[in-house]
Parts: sequence; C-alpha cells; structure tokens
Amino acid sequence: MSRVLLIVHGHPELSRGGGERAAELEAEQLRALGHQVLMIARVAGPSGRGGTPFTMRGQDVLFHAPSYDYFLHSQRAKWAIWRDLRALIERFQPDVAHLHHYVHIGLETIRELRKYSASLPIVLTLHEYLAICHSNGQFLTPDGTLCHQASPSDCAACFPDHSRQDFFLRERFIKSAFALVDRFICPSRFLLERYAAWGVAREKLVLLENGQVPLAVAPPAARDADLLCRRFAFFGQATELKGIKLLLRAAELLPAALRAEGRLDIAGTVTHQSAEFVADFRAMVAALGGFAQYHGPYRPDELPGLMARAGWVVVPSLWWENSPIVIQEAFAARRPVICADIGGMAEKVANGRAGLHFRVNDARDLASVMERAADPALWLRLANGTTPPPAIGQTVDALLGLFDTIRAEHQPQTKPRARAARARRAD
Amino acid sequence: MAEPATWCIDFAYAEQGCLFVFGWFVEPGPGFQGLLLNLNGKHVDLARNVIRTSRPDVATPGRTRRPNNDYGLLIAAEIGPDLVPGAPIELWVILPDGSVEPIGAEASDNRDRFVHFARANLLPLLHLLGNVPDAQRPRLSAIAERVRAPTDAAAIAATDPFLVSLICLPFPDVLLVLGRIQEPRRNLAPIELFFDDSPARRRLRLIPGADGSAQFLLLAEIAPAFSPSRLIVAQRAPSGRHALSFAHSDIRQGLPALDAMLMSLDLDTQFAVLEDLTDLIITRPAPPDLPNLRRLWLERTDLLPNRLERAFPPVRFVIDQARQVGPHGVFLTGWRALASVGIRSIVFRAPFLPPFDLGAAWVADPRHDVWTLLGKEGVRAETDELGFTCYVPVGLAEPGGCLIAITAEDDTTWRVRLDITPTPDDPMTLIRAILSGFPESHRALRRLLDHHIGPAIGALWQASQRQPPEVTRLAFGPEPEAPRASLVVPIWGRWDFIEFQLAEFANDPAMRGQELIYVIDDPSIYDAIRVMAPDLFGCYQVPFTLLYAARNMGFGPASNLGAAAARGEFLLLLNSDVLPAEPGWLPALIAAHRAHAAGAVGPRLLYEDGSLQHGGMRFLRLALWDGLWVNDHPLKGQPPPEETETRACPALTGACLLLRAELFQALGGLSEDYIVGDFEDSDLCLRLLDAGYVNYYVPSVSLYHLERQSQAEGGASPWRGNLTLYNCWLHNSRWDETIAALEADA
Repeated sequence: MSRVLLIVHGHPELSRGGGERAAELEAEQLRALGHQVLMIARVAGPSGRGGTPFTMRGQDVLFHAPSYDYFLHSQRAKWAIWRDLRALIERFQPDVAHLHHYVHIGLETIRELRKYSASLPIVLTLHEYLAICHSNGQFLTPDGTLCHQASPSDCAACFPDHSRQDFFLRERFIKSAFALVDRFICPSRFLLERYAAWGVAREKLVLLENGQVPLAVAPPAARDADLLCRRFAFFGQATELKGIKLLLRAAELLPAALRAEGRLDIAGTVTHQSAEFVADFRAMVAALGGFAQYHGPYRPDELPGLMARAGWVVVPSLWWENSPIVIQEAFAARRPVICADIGGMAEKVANGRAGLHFRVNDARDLASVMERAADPALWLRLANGTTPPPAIGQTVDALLGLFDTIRAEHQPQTKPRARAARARRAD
Repeated sequence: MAEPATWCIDFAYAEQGCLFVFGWFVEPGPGFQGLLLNLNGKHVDLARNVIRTSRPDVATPGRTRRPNNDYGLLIAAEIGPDLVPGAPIELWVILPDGSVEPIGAEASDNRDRFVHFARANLLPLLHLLGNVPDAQRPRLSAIAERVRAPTDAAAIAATDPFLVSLICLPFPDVLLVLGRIQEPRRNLAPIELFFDDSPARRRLRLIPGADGSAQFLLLAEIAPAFSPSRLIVAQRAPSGRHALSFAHSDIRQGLPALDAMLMSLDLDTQFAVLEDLTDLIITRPAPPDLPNLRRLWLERTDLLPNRLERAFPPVRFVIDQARQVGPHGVFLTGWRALASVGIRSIVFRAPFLPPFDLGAAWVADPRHDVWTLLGKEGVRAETDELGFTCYVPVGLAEPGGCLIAITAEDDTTWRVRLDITPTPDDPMTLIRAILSGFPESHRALRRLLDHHIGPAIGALWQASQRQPPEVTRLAFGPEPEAPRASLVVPIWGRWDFIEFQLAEFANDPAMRGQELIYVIDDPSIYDAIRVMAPDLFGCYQVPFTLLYAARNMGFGPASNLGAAAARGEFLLLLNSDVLPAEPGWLPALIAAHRAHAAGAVGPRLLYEDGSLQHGGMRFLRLALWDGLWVNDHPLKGQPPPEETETRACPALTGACLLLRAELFQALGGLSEDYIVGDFEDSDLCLRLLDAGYVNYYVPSVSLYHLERQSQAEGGASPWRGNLTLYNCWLHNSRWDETIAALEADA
C-alpha cells in the first residue's frame, strides 16, 4: 500500500472545478483500495493563525498560500513551502506525490517534494496551458483570437507590461520546476502535443483521461429520439469563454418551428461574472421566450436527472479546452455532443460519430448544426456512437502502474563497471 | 671712520632764475652746517632756502635712523638770470667737520615734471616758501602756484615720456616699479633699471590705457641683502637719457605697502601687478608670505566681473560651466565673441600657479544658440564655433581666485572671474554633467576626448574611488570547501535574476560544491535582497554569499570585490542576466580551459529567442566616433553558426568569462578605470594576450544572456551614451596599437 500525497489547487468541497473533482474522485478511489492519502488543498485567504499557513477540513489539510506571483507561478512567501509544507511532507512520509495543479500554491512545491526525496515519484496533472500561456492558460490573445504557439516575443506583445525577456525568464523558471517532475498527466492528446511542442520531454508526457463515476441515465432509445433530438442543454459555468452567449445568439437564429418544438436548458452558475454580463445573459435568455430556460446551479446528484432530460449537450467554448468534464459527463449519460471544432473538444467528440462540430465562435454555423441535429435518426445514431469515459477505477489503476514504473526508474541502476568491479572482488 | 654721505637729486627745475630741487641726502654725522650753490664759481648761500623732508624710504644701512626720517632735501631759491635750464649746477653741502660734499645735478625746464614733484611735496614746499627771504618769495610762490593748476597729460608726455608713480618691495628680494609712459610702442623698450649704475635683470610689461598712453610695470629680482645706494629708472630717448633715481628705501616694503599701493590703481593694473609678481615668485622653492599675497589676490578677484559683455569694442566672454575636478584641474565650458579685436592670448590664471594658455588648449564647440543670440543683436559671427570646452590641468587647493585674462594685440587685457563650483561630494554627478554636455557628433571629438573630457572624467572617477569600501559579507548555507570554481555575479538594478539563476543552479548537480558570490552593487536593492536571501536559500539550497559595499561601484570594482573573496581555483565572471541553457556547462568550460591551457575562455551566449549574443568579440573602427575601435559582437542577433570547435579568440565578453583566479589576481583584476561597466572585459582579455596567454571561445557550451536587461532601469539618457564613448576612448588610449595589429592579422 502506498502513501499518496495529493496536492490540489482548491478543495473539492469549496471549489467545483474539473481539477478539484478529479482529485476528489482519485482520493476516494485510492482510499477504497486501502492506500493512505493526504490531500493538501490550497484555499484563499489567511489561516488566521499566527505562524502557520494550515487549517483542516475533515481529514484534509488546507494550505493558506500567503502570497502568489501569478506571472511566474511562484510562491513569494517561500518559507510557507520550504519550512511549513516541508514539515508536513516529512511527517506524512509520502512515497508518491500527485499534484493536480501548482497554481495559487507555487512551483516551489515541486522543488520541495524533490528535495524531500530524489526518488519520490512526482506526477503533475495538466489541466490547461497555464505554464505555457500567461493568458489564463487558454491560448487566447487579449482580443479573444485563438493562439497557436507561445514565444517570448509573441507573449510580450499580448502583455506589454512584461518584456520578452520577462517571458523568457518565466518559461525558464517554470521549466526549472517542471524538470523535477517525473510524469505529466495529459487528459487530452491535444494538450499533450502543446506541451511537447513547448519543450517538455515527450517521454514524460502521459495521455490519461480523468476517471469518472458512471451516471445512472437510461441508455438512448428510439422512442425518445423524436423528443430528445430537439432538446439542447448547456452544463457548467455560464461564462463568455464557455461560449454561453454564442449559444444564445445561435438560438436566436434557429427557425421558429424548432424553437417552438425544442428547448434549450442551461444549468450552471453565473457567479464570478460581471453584473453587466449577468444582466445581458438573463435578457438574452428571456428574449428567447419559452425555448430557453436557465435553471441555475446544480448539485452533482442532480446531474443524472438533468442529463436524462437533455438530448444534445452543447459545448460551445471559445477556447481550446483540454478534456472538458461536461463532455465526459455527456458521454457517461450516452448523450451526443455539439461542440466547437477545435482543441480538446474536437478531439474528444468524434464528428459524425459521437456528436457534431461547428466552426468555433460562429453562431450561424452553430445554429445550422443545431438545426441539422434536430433529426431523430441522427440523434439516435450519434448517441449510440458515444463511448462512456474511463471509470475512476481504471484511471487510478493506470496511475498506480505509472507510480511503479517511476519507482523502478528511480532505483539506482547498477552500472556495468560497478558490477564488473564487484565481480573482480568476489574472485 | 665716517661713512660716506649718500645722496640723490631726483629732479632739479629752473625757471625765471628760480631753482627747485627735490632729492635726498644722508650725511655721515648728525647733520650739515650749511648749503651753498656753486653756479659758475659764484656761491649762493641757501641756508634759508632748504628744508628737510620726511623720507622713510631712504635707506641708511648700518646707521641709526634720524628722528622723523628727515633725509629729504627740498630747495626753493631765486638765484638770478645766471641760472638757465640745462646748466649744470653743483650744490655744496658743508658737513660738521667742515668738509664739503658736492652734489651734481642738471636743471630741467620740464614744467609738468615739476608739477608732479611739487604736488608730491606740497606741504613741505609751502612751509619752505614761508621761510625763504621775503625778496625771493613772490617769484617762487608764483611758480609754485602752478602746482594747483590742472596739467595736461599730453603735455607731460610730449616733453617727458615717462614717469614713475609707484615703487615697492613687496618681498625683500622683489622690486616692483610702476609708471606711466606715453607712446608705448616707441618708448617702452628703452626703459631700464639700474642698481647704483649697474643694469638690473627685470621683467617689463605694458598696461595700455584708454588715452593711448600706457602704464609700464617693471619687476626685478634682487639679492635679499640688496642695498644699493641708488636705484635708477632710466629711459634712453633720442634727446638723451631721462632718469629718475631713488634710494632703495624710497621704496615702501612688505605686502601691506603693496596692498596700499594697489589700492590707488585700477583693477586691471592691480592684476597686472599681481600676475607678474606671481609669475616671478612661483618659480621659487618656497614663495614667501604666500597666504597674505593670496588674500590680496582673492580680495581683488571678487571685484572682477564673472562675464564680459562690452559693447565697444564688442567683446563678450561667458562662462557656462566652471567645475573643479578634484585636486587635479578645472573643467570649463563657455562661449566668446571676440572677432572684432585681434586676440593675442586667453589665459587661465589661478593664484600662484603658472598661467595656462586656455586659448591654445581649448576645443572650439559649434554653438548655434550663441550664433542665433548674436544674430538677433545684429552681430554676424564669422564662425559658428563660438563655444569652447577645456580641461585645465591645474590643481587647485580651493576653487577661489581663478580668472581668465584675455589680452588683445594692443595689450589691452580683460579679466573675467571664474566662479568655480567645487567638486561635488559624489563625483558621479559631475561625470554625468560633463558627459551630458557634448554631442558624439562633435567636430573635434578625438581632441575633445584626448585633452578635455578624457582627463577630466578620469580624474573625477579616480577621486570617487579613493576610499576602500567597507564590505558587509553575509553567507547563506554552508560555504563549500575547496570549490573548483567561484562564480562572481554583480547585482545592479533588477535582482530577481538571483532567483532565476538559483533555480537553474539547483537543478545542476555539477554546481554542487562551487562557490557562488553575489556582489550587491546597488544600495537601493540591498535590503530587499538581504531579507529575501534566507528564503532563497531555504527554497533552493544553493549556498551563496552576499557582498555589499554600500555603494554603486560599477561592474569592474564589484567583480574585483567578489574575486577578492573567492576561494575557487577558477574564477567565473558572470552577469546576473546570464542563465545556463542546460546543466553541466561549468565543468565543460573548465575542461575547455584545461585542454587549451587558456588565458580565459568564454562560452556561446544566446538571446532569449535563440539568436547569437556572443560568439567571441572583434574590434572595428566606428566612423561616428572618429574611428575609435569599438568592441563588436559579430553575427549578433543572427542564427548562431554551426560551430562546435573551441577556437582562439582575442577578446571575449565579461558576461561569462572563466579564468584561473590566481592569474586574474596576478593581472590586478579588472581595470577599475572604466566607469559603470564597459570594455573592462576586453581590457582584461588584451592584458592576458599581452602576458602571453591565448583566450578561447567555446561554442559547444551555451548559455542565455538577456543583454542589458539588468541595466534597463538606466534608460537611454544622453550621458549614458557618452559614458560608453568615454570608456571606449579610454580603451583605445590603452590598446589602439594592439587592436590595430590584431585586426590587421585577422
């Protein structure tokens, strides 16, 4: 049995992002298998206790990271890492460390783990492109144009407050921490290739989907097709980047008949958005009359019900995405997906097999794809073409195998010359 | 045995049968019994026609002085028609022992000279006229009345081309005579000075006046025990010799006398006296009574104008900057418009220092602002080179008392006071000011640098580096035992590079056991670094040492400070904005050094985009800088050439330079004469060549160099560009020939 240290950039109960959710599932699965797990999750704000950055939540330790440099992803208050976090690591004595992110915490954490043990398997899951791209790791220029490749001079053009030398230093600094990582978990091929192109050694990049728990949703049936093929659903955070407004604009362009017969269900949060955005969003939903409905946020246990009422899950993101959890959930419910034709989305959703692609950021094209999708036969064929995502058990098994592989690599290799010397002494 | 009598008739005047005599007489005994005039054998008793006047200046060597110093002799007597001008006359002084001392003289009819003497003796003369026999009084008085009437200077000149007005012994061995002379061109040369009747060595100078006449100034060095009985100032004129004689004690002595004498003169004449006096005494080992003379000089300098703006003739001379350059010199800039008068000389003068020929030394600067200014006033200058810049290599103990004397062809001299700003506490402020003050496109750039900017900046920089720094040393982590290499990294401005370097070094096993020294060369960032340092060590576990000298020293001195503390066999000079491209670079560099028994080795340096920053340096002549050799980085910014073989290269960048620590110290380290940081790397490399070593470029080892990022805060101020020019000039002044030979071979 292993002693697994999980480091997460937010606690799953406090922050409902895909990364946090993946960590939560992984911890549950590992514990179910009898492994010892310590989850250290970063939370915002001070601990309120002089002299320690820690508080607790259940059996998890919350790390109140004091001062963060969002350009370098460096913890300014390094003592919180090399003194306090280090003490916690030494008490727990992990024999493997899996970081679900470094953001908010600091890349110094990786260094501290490596200092703790040269042979400790250190695995880092990459959830987006933050190390490469200062634009929230989304490969979008400030005006929203899709970006294909980072370079110090191009990045400095996006961020005039930083020189190209600053971006070079940023890259070197991040890579100096990445150099200490044994494997990077890439949930999508697209993400893997981006990091490979950036210079991370290909042999350190491992393609591995986040595991999911099965969804109790009835499999697609012909009798439902006529109804469900006109039901479109959006799950997740309703933000600009997630393409919610693009979807609403596309809905306005749908033929009246489809709008009369079909529906668009929006479930998720609009928190952390500007008041102007929220007002806009609500006005656009209202303008669509009975076709569109905003249901507000939902709890995980509500998801199966919501999925059961949905026909198509629309993922209209304006950026590349990695492996959106909503696609995994759709596929777990055997629902076909309409998504933009780029990045992780296009990779996960086979066009014409498990869903349909539209031209990214093109409301007219999305509308025409939705119109085409309102076809019971097509819906049924594509719904049946979906493949459920790997179960969390499969993913954790793969991770445990990877830890073993790394451990073996870290075993001091007996060098032929040393062996020969021993042999001579034995003579 | 009685001393002989000494005497002198300064002037004898005859008019309408009346005789006036001015002179002095030192008799051997207590007095004389009588006085007779022997005129063609006829004897006239002058007992009631003589009065003794006070002459404290008359010398009486070895004798007791008489009360009241009444050695003077003033005679007024009506003799009769036998007395005619030009006739030789003889005075018989009857001494107490009955013997007669004859005094010879020649009666003159020069009225103006008579007026001159009579005025100088007016009171005794009036007194005497009260004593003469009544019969003589009317005529004598009538002649004496003339003294009160105005005189015509031209009339004096016509008949008598020179007059002595002042005479003084400011020091016991320096005699000074000041007089007036008419038609100086014709008459000056024959003025001579005699002690007794021997000609004396003397210096003569002319001070032209507004009316065409001039003052003349005679200075003579005399033996300290000088005691001639007579001093004669004489002029040979076609009409015969004019002479004025004085007893040497006729001369007032000492600096108070000089001071009093100067008071009666105009300022230019006073300076003429002081300047000549200075020029005379400064040649001596220990000038006497200097502080007092200095005080006289300083008091008068205060009275001079600090700029010259005369409308007629249009003569203008303006000082823009007068800066003391440590104890070595004075840096001057200004402008002048003197075209309408012929200028003989423009001289810088400081009290008791040799004059400096400013006009010959300075570099003329184009001044279009002045050109425009003059144009508005209707003056069309013949050239736009109206400005000047000059470093005057004259050391001043203090900046007071300096002036510029501008002398025209006609000897007219104008003087301008220099208000010299003392050397600032921080000489860098003055270095910046000087460097901001000229364009690199200057027409005479090399001369400007060679003789003015270069020496001035050099002297200031030396002055700023005098005190050895007090160094604070803070060690973080265990100090490595017997490190193979010591990395010395000066930090200025941006200091976040420290963390970037530590993050790279921490990942490189070959860096373990090496010594890392950061020299904080910037007081403004020291506290931030000091506070952060324990955290940086806590995180990266790369031991390092901070050295701090509490001031900004520049790259050379900072590196030397670090090198002095270094314990490694090898020394690596490293810029803070250099980052390794991959681990193992240091042993690879050391191996290359060993393989070639090199002087210094340097790696390939790349910009952040992978283009070449440094692949060995060359030198090329920069036309803009008057052909000075500049350091060139060939192929800079281009794709790096595909070379891997280590090759000999005369000069390498100091951004990353490896050499043996011992050799570095033996050569005296980096030159600290370059300011802030430039050229000291090539200077070191060239010194290595000079010492017989070969330097090598190692293209198989690469690092990144974010060139000039650490200096980004400095901005692109004009003085910065000219600072590079200065450093370049200094480099050329040392290595011009070496570089020319290297480049000829290449």
